Amino acid sequence: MTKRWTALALVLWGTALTGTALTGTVGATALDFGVSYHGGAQGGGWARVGVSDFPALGGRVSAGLSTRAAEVGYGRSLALPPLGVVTARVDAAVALTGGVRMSSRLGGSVGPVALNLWAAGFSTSAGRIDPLALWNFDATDSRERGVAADLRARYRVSRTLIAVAGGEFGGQNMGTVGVEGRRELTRTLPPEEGAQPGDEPETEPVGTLTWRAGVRAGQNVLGVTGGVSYAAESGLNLGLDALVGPKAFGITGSVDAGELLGPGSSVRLYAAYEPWRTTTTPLRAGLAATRPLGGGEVGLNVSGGRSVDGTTGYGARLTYTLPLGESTQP
Amino acid sequence: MSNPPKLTSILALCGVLLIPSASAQTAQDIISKVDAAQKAARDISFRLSGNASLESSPQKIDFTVKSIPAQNIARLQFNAPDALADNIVVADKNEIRQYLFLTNQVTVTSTKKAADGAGFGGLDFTQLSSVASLLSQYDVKLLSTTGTAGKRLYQLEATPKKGNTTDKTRVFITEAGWRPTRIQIVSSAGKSLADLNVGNYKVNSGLSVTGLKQLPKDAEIVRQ
Repeated sequence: MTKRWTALALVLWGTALTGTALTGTVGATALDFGVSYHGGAQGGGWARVGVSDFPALGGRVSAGLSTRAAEVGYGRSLALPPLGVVTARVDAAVALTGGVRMSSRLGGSVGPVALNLWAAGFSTSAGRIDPLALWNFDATDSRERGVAADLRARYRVSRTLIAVAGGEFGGQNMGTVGVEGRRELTRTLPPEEGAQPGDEPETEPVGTLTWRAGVRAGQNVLGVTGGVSYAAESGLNLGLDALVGPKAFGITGSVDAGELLGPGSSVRLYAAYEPWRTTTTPLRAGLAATRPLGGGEVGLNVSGGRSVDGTTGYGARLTYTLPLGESTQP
Repeated sequence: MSNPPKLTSILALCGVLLIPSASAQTAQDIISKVDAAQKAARDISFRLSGNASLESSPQKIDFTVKSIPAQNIARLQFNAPDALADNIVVADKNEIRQYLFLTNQVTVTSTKKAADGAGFGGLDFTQLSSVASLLSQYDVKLLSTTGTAGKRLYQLEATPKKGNTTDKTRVFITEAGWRPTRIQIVSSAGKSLADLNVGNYKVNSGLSVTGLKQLPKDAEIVRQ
Protein backbone atom coordinates (compact mmCIF):
# COMPACT_ATOMS: atom_id res chain seq x y z
CA MET A 1 0.00 0.00 0.00
CA THR A 2 2.81 2.35 0.91
CA LYS A 3 4.34 1.83 -2.50
CA ARG A 4 1.14 2.91 -4.18
CA TRP A 5 0.72 5.90 -1.96
CA THR A 6 4.32 6.71 -2.75
CA ALA A 7 3.72 6.48 -6.46
CA LEU A 8 0.70 8.73 -6.19
CA ALA A 9 2.48 11.12 -3.87
CA LEU A 10 5.42 11.29 -6.19
CA VAL A 11 3.35 12.41 -9.12
CA LEU A 12 1.57 14.83 -6.88
CA TRP A 13 4.54 16.48 -5.29
CA GLY A 14 6.39 16.35 -8.55
CA THR A 15 3.66 18.39 -10.13
CA ALA A 16 3.39 20.71 -7.20
CA LEU A 17 6.97 21.31 -6.19
CA THR A 18 9.66 22.63 -8.42
CA GLY A 19 12.56 24.84 -7.57
CA THR A 20 15.94 24.73 -5.95
CA ALA A 21 17.53 22.13 -3.70
CA LEU A 22 15.99 21.50 -0.30
CA THR A 23 18.07 22.24 2.76
CA GLY A 24 17.66 23.35 6.33
CA THR A 25 16.53 22.09 9.72
CA VAL A 26 13.66 22.73 12.05
CA GLY A 27 14.32 24.99 15.00
CA ALA A 28 11.83 24.04 17.65
CA THR A 29 13.66 23.86 20.96
CA ALA A 30 12.53 26.62 23.27
CA LEU A 31 13.54 28.12 26.60
CA ASP A 32 10.65 28.73 28.98
CA PHE A 33 10.57 31.23 31.83
CA GLY A 34 7.71 31.81 34.20
CA VAL A 35 6.82 33.63 37.41
CA SER A 36 3.55 33.55 39.26
CA TYR A 37 1.84 34.69 42.40
CA HIS A 38 -1.17 33.00 43.87
CA GLY A 39 -3.42 33.83 46.78
CA GLY A 40 -5.56 31.59 48.92
CA ALA A 41 -4.84 29.02 51.59
CA GLN A 42 -1.21 28.30 50.68
CA GLY A 43 -0.45 31.43 48.71
CA GLY A 44 2.96 32.57 47.59
CA GLY A 45 5.29 33.07 44.71
CA TRP A 46 6.59 30.66 42.11
CA ALA A 47 9.27 30.80 39.45
CA ARG A 48 10.37 28.34 36.81
CA VAL A 49 12.95 27.98 34.08
CA GLY A 50 12.91 25.16 31.57
CA VAL A 51 13.71 23.87 28.13
CA SER A 52 11.16 22.20 25.89
CA ASP A 53 11.23 20.14 22.69
CA PHE A 54 14.98 19.52 22.88
CA PRO A 55 15.78 16.83 20.28
CA ALA A 56 17.49 13.88 22.01
CA LEU A 57 17.27 10.08 22.18
CA GLY A 58 15.30 10.00 18.96
CA GLY A 59 12.53 12.11 20.43
CA ARG A 60 11.98 15.38 22.28
CA VAL A 61 13.07 16.05 25.83
CA SER A 62 11.75 18.75 28.12
CA ALA A 63 13.07 19.65 31.53
CA GLY A 64 12.38 22.34 34.08
CA LEU A 65 13.29 23.51 37.53
CA SER A 66 10.93 25.60 39.59
CA THR A 67 10.81 26.84 43.16
CA ARG A 68 8.52 23.88 43.84
CA ALA A 69 9.66 20.97 41.71
CA ALA A 70 12.08 19.44 39.21
CA GLU A 71 10.46 18.09 36.06
CA VAL A 72 11.55 16.02 33.08
CA GLY A 73 9.63 14.67 30.13
CA TYR A 74 10.28 12.67 27.00
CA GLY A 75 8.05 12.39 23.96
CA ARG A 76 8.40 10.55 20.73
CA SER A 77 6.18 10.50 17.69
CA LEU A 78 5.93 8.98 14.26
CA ALA A 79 3.99 10.99 11.72
CA LEU A 80 2.60 9.27 8.65
CA PRO A 81 1.28 12.10 6.46
CA PRO A 82 -1.52 12.17 5.51
CA LEU A 83 -2.75 9.08 7.36
CA GLY A 84 -2.05 9.85 11.01
CA VAL A 85 0.44 9.90 13.85
CA VAL A 86 1.52 7.79 16.81
CA THR A 87 2.83 9.58 19.88
CA ALA A 88 4.18 8.36 23.20
CA ARG A 89 5.11 10.54 26.14
CA VAL A 90 6.30 10.11 29.73
CA ASP A 91 6.60 12.86 32.33
CA ALA A 92 7.97 12.88 35.85
CA ALA A 93 8.06 15.60 38.48
CA VAL A 94 9.62 15.56 41.93
CA ALA A 95 8.26 18.09 44.42
CA LEU A 96 10.92 19.80 46.50
CA THR A 97 8.77 19.23 49.57
CA GLY A 98 8.70 15.49 48.77
CA GLY A 99 6.44 13.42 46.58
CA VAL A 100 6.47 12.57 42.91
CA ARG A 101 4.08 12.61 39.97
CA MET A 102 4.55 10.28 37.00
CA SER A 103 2.40 10.07 33.93
CA SER A 104 2.50 8.48 30.53
CA ARG A 105 0.42 8.93 27.46
CA LEU A 106 0.05 6.88 24.32
CA GLY A 107 -1.96 8.23 21.44
CA GLY A 108 -2.44 7.28 17.87
CA SER A 109 -4.64 7.98 14.92
CA VAL A 110 -4.72 6.26 11.58
CA GLY A 111 -7.35 7.23 9.05
CA PRO A 112 -10.77 7.23 10.78
CA VAL A 113 -9.67 5.85 14.18
CA ALA A 114 -7.98 7.63 17.09
CA LEU A 115 -7.08 6.17 20.48
CA ASN A 116 -5.66 7.93 23.51
CA LEU A 117 -4.48 6.28 26.71
CA TRP A 118 -3.21 8.20 29.71
CA ALA A 119 -2.16 6.89 33.09
CA ALA A 120 -0.67 8.59 36.12
CA GLY A 121 0.48 7.81 39.61
CA PHE A 122 1.27 10.46 42.20
CA SER A 123 2.16 10.98 45.83
CA THR A 124 1.78 14.75 45.78
CA SER A 125 -0.98 16.98 44.39
CA ALA A 126 -0.83 18.73 41.03
CA GLY A 127 -1.10 22.04 42.85
CA ARG A 128 2.17 21.47 44.72
CA ILE A 129 4.03 21.20 41.41
CA ASP A 130 2.14 23.91 39.55
CA PRO A 131 -0.01 26.13 41.79
CA LEU A 132 -2.27 27.24 38.94
CA ALA A 133 -2.91 23.72 37.57
CA LEU A 134 -6.12 23.18 39.52
CA TRP A 135 -7.81 26.14 37.84
CA ASN A 136 -7.14 25.05 34.24
CA PHE A 137 -10.10 24.79 31.90
CA ASP A 138 -9.66 21.01 31.71
CA ALA A 139 -10.44 19.49 35.10
CA THR A 140 -7.29 18.39 36.97
CA ASP A 141 -7.33 15.69 39.66
CA SER A 142 -6.66 17.53 42.91
CA ARG A 143 -6.03 14.53 45.17
CA GLU A 144 -2.85 14.33 47.23
CA ARG A 145 -2.03 10.79 46.15
CA GLY A 146 -3.44 8.07 43.98
CA VAL A 147 -3.53 6.61 40.51
CA ALA A 148 -5.60 7.78 37.58
CA ALA A 149 -6.23 6.65 34.04
CA ASP A 150 -8.00 8.08 31.08
CA LEU A 151 -9.07 6.29 27.93
CA ARG A 152 -10.52 7.93 24.85
CA ALA A 153 -11.52 6.63 21.45
CA ARG A 154 -12.78 8.51 18.42
CA TYR A 155 -14.13 7.00 15.25
CA ARG A 156 -15.00 8.99 12.20
CA VAL A 157 -18.28 7.54 10.97
CA SER A 158 -18.47 9.96 8.06
CA ARG A 159 -16.91 13.25 7.11
CA THR A 160 -19.25 15.15 9.42
CA LEU A 161 -19.92 12.63 12.19
CA ILE A 162 -17.56 11.28 14.86
CA ALA A 163 -18.46 8.67 17.48
CA VAL A 164 -16.64 9.11 20.79
CA ALA A 165 -16.26 6.89 23.84
CA GLY A 166 -14.12 7.28 26.91
CA GLY A 167 -13.53 6.48 30.52
CA GLU A 168 -11.98 8.31 33.47
CA PHE A 169 -10.69 6.21 36.33
CA GLY A 170 -9.12 7.09 39.64
CA GLY A 171 -10.79 9.47 42.03
CA GLN A 172 -14.20 9.43 40.37
CA ASN A 173 -14.78 6.59 37.92
CA MET A 174 -17.01 7.33 34.96
CA GLY A 175 -17.61 6.57 31.33
CA THR A 176 -18.82 8.64 28.41
CA VAL A 177 -20.27 7.88 25.00
CA GLY A 178 -21.43 10.34 22.42
CA VAL A 179 -21.36 11.74 18.94
CA GLU A 180 -19.92 14.90 17.44
CA GLY A 181 -21.14 16.48 14.28
CA ARG A 182 -20.32 19.57 12.36
CA ARG A 183 -21.44 21.82 9.61
CA GLU A 184 -19.05 23.76 7.45
CA LEU A 185 -20.25 27.26 6.70
CA THR A 186 -18.92 28.32 3.31
CA ARG A 187 -19.46 30.94 0.69
CA THR A 188 -19.05 30.37 -3.04
CA LEU A 189 -16.37 32.41 -4.75
CA PRO A 190 -17.02 34.05 -8.12
CA PRO A 191 -15.65 31.89 -11.00
CA GLU A 192 -12.00 32.55 -11.81
CA GLU A 193 -10.92 33.87 -15.14
CA GLY A 194 -10.00 30.98 -17.41
CA ALA A 195 -11.90 28.39 -15.38
CA GLN A 196 -12.71 25.24 -17.33
CA PRO A 197 -16.44 24.67 -18.01
CA GLY A 198 -16.42 21.38 -16.04
CA ASP A 199 -14.72 22.89 -12.97
CA GLU A 200 -16.73 23.01 -9.79
CA PRO A 201 -17.04 26.48 -8.29
CA GLU A 202 -14.46 27.19 -5.59
CA THR A 203 -15.79 27.80 -2.11
CA GLU A 204 -14.24 29.61 0.81
CA PRO A 205 -14.88 28.51 4.39
CA VAL A 206 -16.24 31.20 6.70
CA GLY A 207 -16.72 29.13 9.82
CA THR A 208 -17.56 25.79 11.36
CA LEU A 209 -20.42 24.85 13.61
CA THR A 210 -19.77 21.81 15.81
CA TRP A 211 -22.25 20.04 18.07
CA ARG A 212 -21.81 17.34 20.68
CA ALA A 213 -24.31 15.01 22.34
CA GLY A 214 -23.76 12.13 24.72
CA VAL A 215 -24.15 10.49 28.09
CA ARG A 216 -21.84 10.56 31.13
CA ALA A 217 -22.33 7.96 33.82
CA GLY A 218 -20.32 6.95 36.86
CA GLN A 219 -19.72 7.64 40.54
CA ASN A 220 -21.90 10.55 41.66
CA VAL A 221 -22.72 11.51 38.12
CA LEU A 222 -25.37 10.52 35.62
CA GLY A 223 -26.53 12.84 32.91
CA VAL A 224 -26.85 13.71 29.29
CA THR A 225 -24.27 16.02 27.81
CA GLY A 226 -24.63 18.49 25.01
CA GLY A 227 -22.49 21.18 23.52
CA VAL A 228 -22.03 23.52 20.61
CA SER A 229 -19.03 25.37 19.19
CA TYR A 230 -18.62 27.97 16.54
CA ALA A 231 -15.23 28.55 14.95
CA ALA A 232 -14.82 31.46 12.55
CA GLU A 233 -11.99 31.71 10.04
CA SER A 234 -10.84 34.85 11.85
CA GLY A 235 -9.79 32.69 14.80
CA LEU A 236 -12.84 33.47 16.95
CA ASN A 237 -13.95 30.30 18.70
CA LEU A 238 -16.95 30.00 21.00
CA GLY A 239 -17.79 26.86 22.94
CA LEU A 240 -20.51 25.92 25.40
CA ASP A 241 -21.08 22.49 26.99
CA ALA A 242 -23.59 21.33 29.60
CA LEU A 243 -24.36 18.23 31.61
CA VAL A 244 -27.88 17.70 32.91
CA GLY A 245 -29.01 14.74 35.02
CA PRO A 246 -31.41 13.85 37.81
CA LYS A 247 -28.92 14.93 40.47
CA ALA A 248 -26.20 16.55 38.47
CA PHE A 249 -25.71 19.76 36.56
CA GLY A 250 -22.63 21.32 35.03
CA ILE A 251 -21.74 23.94 32.45
CA THR A 252 -18.49 24.98 30.81
CA GLY A 253 -17.79 27.69 28.28
CA SER A 254 -14.87 29.31 26.52
CA VAL A 255 -14.18 32.15 24.13
CA ASP A 256 -11.06 32.25 21.98
CA ALA A 257 -10.86 35.76 20.64
CA GLY A 258 -8.29 34.98 17.94
CA GLU A 259 -5.58 37.48 17.11
CA LEU A 260 -7.08 40.30 19.13
CA LEU A 261 -3.67 41.53 20.32
CA GLY A 262 -2.08 41.52 16.85
CA PRO A 263 -0.74 38.85 14.49
CA GLY A 264 0.33 35.66 16.24
CA SER A 265 -1.47 36.53 19.46
CA SER A 266 -4.18 34.64 21.30
CA VAL A 267 -6.73 35.46 23.97
CA ARG A 268 -8.84 32.90 25.77
CA LEU A 269 -11.47 33.37 28.41
CA TYR A 270 -13.00 30.33 30.12
CA ALA A 271 -15.26 29.33 32.96
CA ALA A 272 -16.37 25.95 34.27
CA TYR A 273 -18.97 25.15 36.89
CA GLU A 274 -19.07 21.39 37.49
CA PRO A 275 -20.32 20.71 41.04
CA TRP A 276 -20.72 17.02 40.19
CA ARG A 277 -16.93 16.64 40.14
CA THR A 278 -15.69 15.31 43.48
CA THR A 279 -11.91 15.09 42.93
CA THR A 280 -11.28 18.21 40.87
CA THR A 281 -11.91 21.87 41.45
CA PRO A 282 -15.62 22.27 40.54
CA LEU A 283 -15.57 26.02 39.87
CA ARG A 284 -12.79 27.34 37.64
CA ALA A 285 -12.33 30.46 35.56
CA GLY A 286 -9.47 32.13 33.82
CA LEU A 287 -8.05 34.39 31.17
CA ALA A 288 -5.03 33.38 29.10
CA ALA A 289 -3.35 35.61 26.55
CA THR A 290 -0.20 35.30 24.47
CA ARG A 291 1.53 37.55 21.98
CA PRO A 292 4.86 37.61 20.15
CA LEU A 293 7.57 39.69 21.80
CA GLY A 294 11.22 40.06 20.85
CA GLY A 295 11.56 36.78 18.93
CA GLY A 296 9.63 34.85 21.55
CA GLU A 297 6.19 34.76 23.02
CA VAL A 298 4.96 36.37 26.20
CA GLY A 299 1.98 34.94 28.04
CA LEU A 300 -0.27 36.09 30.84
CA ASN A 301 -2.56 33.77 32.71
CA VAL A 302 -4.99 34.89 35.41
CA SER A 303 -7.12 32.15 36.93
CA GLY A 304 -8.92 31.09 40.04
CA GLY A 305 -11.43 28.69 41.45
CA ARG A 306 -13.30 27.26 44.38
CA SER A 307 -12.48 23.74 45.54
CA VAL A 308 -14.83 21.00 46.77
CA ASP A 309 -14.34 22.09 50.41
CA GLY A 310 -15.32 25.66 49.57
CA THR A 311 -11.90 27.33 49.73
CA THR A 312 -11.18 29.80 46.99
CA GLY A 313 -7.90 30.55 45.31
CA TYR A 314 -6.58 32.70 42.53
CA GLY A 315 -3.31 33.32 40.77
CA ALA A 316 -1.53 35.23 38.03
CA ARG A 317 1.34 34.01 35.90
CA LEU A 318 3.65 35.69 33.44
CA THR A 319 5.58 33.45 31.03
CA TYR A 320 8.09 33.96 28.25
CA THR A 321 8.97 31.32 25.67
CA LEU A 322 12.04 31.88 23.52
CA PRO A 323 12.56 29.53 20.56
CA LEU A 324 16.22 28.72 19.94
CA GLY A 325 17.38 29.01 16.34
CA GLU A 326 15.20 29.54 13.33
CA SER A 327 11.50 29.25 13.88
CA THR A 328 9.28 28.35 10.97
CA GLN A 329 6.05 28.63 12.90
CA PRO A 330 3.63 30.50 10.65
CA MET B 1 17.24 7.91 -20.18
CA SER B 2 20.39 5.95 -19.48
CA ASN B 3 18.79 2.51 -19.40
CA PRO B 4 19.03 0.21 -22.42
CA PRO B 5 16.04 0.72 -24.69
CA LYS B 6 13.29 -1.83 -24.18
CA LEU B 7 11.08 -3.24 -26.88
CA THR B 8 8.12 -1.22 -25.68
CA SER B 9 10.19 1.94 -25.73
CA ILE B 10 11.27 1.20 -29.26
CA LEU B 11 7.66 0.63 -30.29
CA ALA B 12 6.69 3.88 -28.65
CA LEU B 13 9.51 5.60 -30.44
CA CYS B 14 8.26 4.14 -33.71
CA GLY B 15 4.87 5.57 -32.91
CA VAL B 16 6.41 8.97 -32.34
CA LEU B 17 8.28 8.74 -35.63
CA LEU B 18 5.02 8.18 -37.47
CA ILE B 19 3.72 11.55 -36.32
CA PRO B 20 4.48 14.32 -38.82
CA SER B 21 7.86 15.79 -37.96
CA ALA B 22 6.55 19.30 -37.29
CA SER B 23 4.92 18.15 -34.06
CA ALA B 24 7.29 15.33 -33.14
CA GLN B 25 7.72 15.12 -29.39
CA THR B 26 9.67 12.73 -27.28
CA ALA B 27 8.73 11.98 -23.71
CA GLN B 28 11.74 14.03 -22.67
CA ASP B 29 10.61 17.03 -24.74
CA ILE B 30 7.20 16.91 -23.05
CA ILE B 31 8.71 16.63 -19.56
CA SER B 32 11.00 19.57 -20.32
CA LYS B 33 8.06 21.68 -21.43
CA VAL B 34 5.98 20.82 -18.36
CA ASP B 35 9.02 21.52 -16.21
CA ALA B 36 9.56 24.88 -17.90
CA ALA B 37 5.87 25.82 -17.61
CA GLN B 38 5.91 25.05 -13.89
CA LYS B 39 9.13 26.91 -13.27
CA ALA B 40 7.70 29.93 -15.06
CA ALA B 41 4.64 29.94 -12.81
CA ARG B 42 4.66 31.93 -9.59
CA ASP B 43 2.00 29.68 -8.11
CA ILE B 44 0.02 26.64 -9.17
CA SER B 45 -3.14 25.12 -7.79
CA PHE B 46 -5.31 22.24 -8.90
CA ARG B 47 -7.70 19.61 -7.67
CA LEU B 48 -7.19 15.88 -8.08
CA SER B 49 -10.30 13.75 -7.89
CA GLY B 50 -11.22 10.24 -8.84
CA ASN B 51 -10.99 6.71 -7.52
CA ALA B 52 -8.14 4.69 -6.13
CA SER B 53 -7.77 1.14 -4.85
CA LEU B 54 -4.95 1.97 -2.51
CA GLU B 55 -6.00 -0.71 -0.06
CA SER B 56 -8.40 -3.43 -1.14
CA SER B 57 -11.63 -1.77 -2.22
CA PRO B 58 -11.80 1.26 -4.49
CA GLN B 59 -12.47 4.52 -2.74
CA LYS B 60 -13.04 8.11 -3.68
CA ILE B 61 -9.99 10.32 -3.60
CA ASP B 62 -10.30 14.08 -3.78
CA PHE B 63 -7.80 16.69 -2.75
CA THR B 64 -6.53 20.09 -3.72
CA VAL B 65 -2.90 21.00 -4.20
CA LYS B 66 -1.54 24.53 -3.94
CA SER B 67 2.08 25.34 -4.55
CA ILE B 68 4.56 28.19 -4.86
CA PRO B 69 7.41 26.46 -6.70
CA ALA B 70 10.06 29.14 -6.17
CA GLN B 71 9.53 28.95 -2.39
CA ASN B 72 9.50 25.15 -2.35
CA ILE B 73 6.15 25.16 -0.62
CA ALA B 74 3.17 22.94 -1.32
CA ARG B 75 -0.14 22.44 0.45
CA LEU B 76 -2.37 19.43 0.05
CA GLN B 77 -5.88 19.39 1.46
CA PHE B 78 -8.11 16.32 1.43
CA ASN B 79 -11.84 16.32 0.63
CA ALA B 80 -12.22 12.55 0.30
CA PRO B 81 -12.10 9.77 1.44
CA ASP B 82 -14.06 10.64 4.59
CA ALA B 83 -11.32 9.12 6.75
CA LEU B 84 -8.83 11.69 5.47
CA ALA B 85 -11.15 14.58 4.71
CA ASP B 86 -10.02 17.94 6.11
CA ASN B 87 -6.53 16.62 6.76
CA ILE B 88 -3.89 19.00 5.44
CA VAL B 89 -0.24 18.45 4.59
CA VAL B 90 2.05 21.45 4.14
CA ALA B 91 5.60 20.82 2.97
CA ASP B 92 8.38 23.33 2.56
CA LYS B 93 12.13 23.04 2.40
CA ASN B 94 12.46 22.76 6.18
CA GLU B 95 9.53 20.80 7.47
CA ILE B 96 6.38 18.87 6.74
CA ARG B 97 3.34 19.85 8.78
CA GLN B 98 0.34 17.58 8.90
CA TYR B 99 -3.03 18.63 10.32
CA LEU B 100 -5.19 15.76 11.54
CA PHE B 101 -8.83 16.71 11.75
CA LEU B 102 -9.92 13.78 13.93
CA THR B 103 -7.54 14.57 16.77
CA ASN B 104 -7.04 18.30 16.07
CA GLN B 105 -3.28 17.84 16.01
CA VAL B 106 -0.52 19.28 13.87
CA THR B 107 2.54 17.07 13.45
CA VAL B 108 5.83 18.69 12.55
CA THR B 109 8.54 16.61 10.90
CA SER B 110 11.76 17.94 9.44
CA THR B 111 11.87 17.39 5.70
CA LYS B 112 15.22 15.67 6.10
CA LYS B 113 13.85 13.28 8.73
CA ALA B 114 10.75 12.62 6.65
CA ALA B 115 12.91 11.36 3.81
CA ASP B 116 13.82 8.38 6.03
CA GLY B 117 10.28 7.79 7.23
CA ALA B 118 7.12 6.21 5.93
CA GLY B 119 3.98 7.54 4.28
CA PHE B 120 4.33 10.53 1.99
CA GLY B 121 7.52 11.26 3.91
CA GLY B 122 9.04 8.11 2.46
CA LEU B 123 9.80 10.15 -0.61
CA ASP B 124 13.23 11.62 -0.97
CA PHE B 125 12.28 15.27 -0.88
CA THR B 126 15.72 16.30 -2.00
CA GLN B 127 14.82 14.78 -5.36
CA LEU B 128 11.82 17.04 -5.79
CA SER B 129 13.78 19.97 -7.14
CA SER B 130 12.17 19.53 -10.52
CA VAL B 131 9.93 17.24 -12.48
CA ALA B 132 12.93 16.37 -14.62
CA SER B 133 15.12 15.17 -11.75
CA LEU B 134 12.12 13.49 -10.13
CA LEU B 135 11.48 11.50 -13.25
CA SER B 136 15.14 10.58 -13.57
CA GLN B 137 14.32 7.64 -11.30
CA TYR B 138 11.77 6.46 -13.84
CA ASP B 139 11.72 5.14 -17.33
CA VAL B 140 9.30 7.43 -19.10
CA LYS B 141 7.85 6.80 -22.49
CA LEU B 142 5.24 8.41 -24.69
CA LEU B 143 2.26 6.06 -25.07
CA SER B 144 0.03 8.04 -27.39
CA THR B 145 -0.74 11.41 -28.87
CA THR B 146 -4.26 12.54 -29.70
CA GLY B 147 -5.95 15.76 -30.76
CA THR B 148 -5.08 18.52 -33.19
CA ALA B 149 -2.19 20.96 -33.17
CA GLY B 150 -2.28 23.28 -30.19
CA LYS B 151 -4.67 20.99 -28.32
CA ARG B 152 -2.70 17.76 -28.39
CA LEU B 153 -3.00 15.39 -25.51
CA TYR B 154 0.07 13.31 -24.71
CA GLN B 155 -0.06 10.17 -22.61
CA LEU B 156 3.17 9.39 -20.76
CA GLU B 157 3.92 6.24 -18.84
CA ALA B 158 6.48 6.11 -16.04
CA THR B 159 7.96 2.86 -14.72
CA PRO B 160 10.29 2.90 -11.72
CA LYS B 161 13.88 2.00 -12.62
CA LYS B 162 14.38 0.29 -9.27
CA GLY B 163 12.25 -0.81 -6.36
CA ASN B 164 9.97 -3.78 -6.00
CA THR B 165 6.87 -2.19 -7.49
CA THR B 166 5.88 -2.86 -11.05
CA ASP B 167 2.99 -0.38 -10.98
CA LYS B 168 3.04 2.08 -13.82
CA THR B 169 2.02 5.70 -13.60
CA ARG B 170 0.35 7.25 -16.63
CA VAL B 171 0.11 10.99 -16.93
CA PHE B 172 -1.93 12.80 -19.56
CA ILE B 173 -0.40 16.12 -20.56
CA THR B 174 -2.21 18.75 -22.61
CA GLU B 175 -0.26 20.86 -25.02
CA ALA B 176 -2.49 23.80 -24.07
CA GLY B 177 -0.51 25.12 -21.13
CA TRP B 178 1.71 22.03 -20.80
CA ARG B 179 -0.09 20.75 -17.75
CA PRO B 180 -1.31 17.36 -16.54
CA THR B 181 -5.02 16.62 -17.00
CA ARG B 182 -5.25 13.04 -15.70
CA ILE B 183 -3.15 10.63 -13.70
CA GLN B 184 -3.55 6.88 -13.67
CA ILE B 185 -1.71 4.20 -11.74
CA VAL B 186 -1.92 0.80 -13.39
CA SER B 187 -0.65 -2.53 -12.07
CA SER B 188 1.56 -4.72 -14.24
CA ALA B 189 -1.52 -6.88 -14.82
CA GLY B 190 -3.24 -3.87 -16.36
CA LYS B 191 -5.62 -3.26 -13.44
CA SER B 192 -6.36 0.39 -12.72
CA LEU B 193 -5.27 1.19 -9.16
CA ALA B 194 -5.92 4.89 -9.31
CA ASP B 195 -7.55 7.16 -11.85
CA LEU B 196 -7.53 10.83 -10.99
CA ASN B 197 -8.58 13.83 -13.00
CA VAL B 198 -6.84 17.16 -12.66
CA GLY B 199 -9.36 19.97 -12.39
CA ASN B 200 -9.44 23.66 -11.48
CA TYR B 201 -5.86 24.01 -12.72
CA LYS B 202 -4.83 27.58 -12.06
CA VAL B 203 -1.57 29.40 -12.51
CA ASN B 204 -0.61 32.70 -10.85
CA SER B 205 -3.82 33.09 -8.88
CA GLY B 206 -1.97 35.10 -6.22
CA LEU B 207 -1.35 32.47 -3.55
CA SER B 208 0.61 33.61 -0.51
CA VAL B 209 3.11 31.66 1.59
CA THR B 210 1.15 32.60 4.72
CA GLY B 211 -2.06 31.31 3.18
CA LEU B 212 -0.47 28.03 2.17
CA LYS B 213 1.01 27.51 5.64
CA GLN B 214 -2.21 28.32 7.49
CA LEU B 215 -3.39 25.54 9.79
CA PRO B 216 -6.01 25.61 12.58
CA LYS B 217 -4.56 27.62 15.44
CA ASP B 218 -6.07 25.66 18.32
CA ALA B 219 -4.49 22.36 17.24
CA GLU B 220 -2.01 20.56 19.49
CA ILE B 221 1.51 20.68 18.05
CA VAL B 222 3.37 17.35 17.98
CA ARG B 223 7.04 17.60 17.03
CA GLN B 224 8.78 14.53 15.76
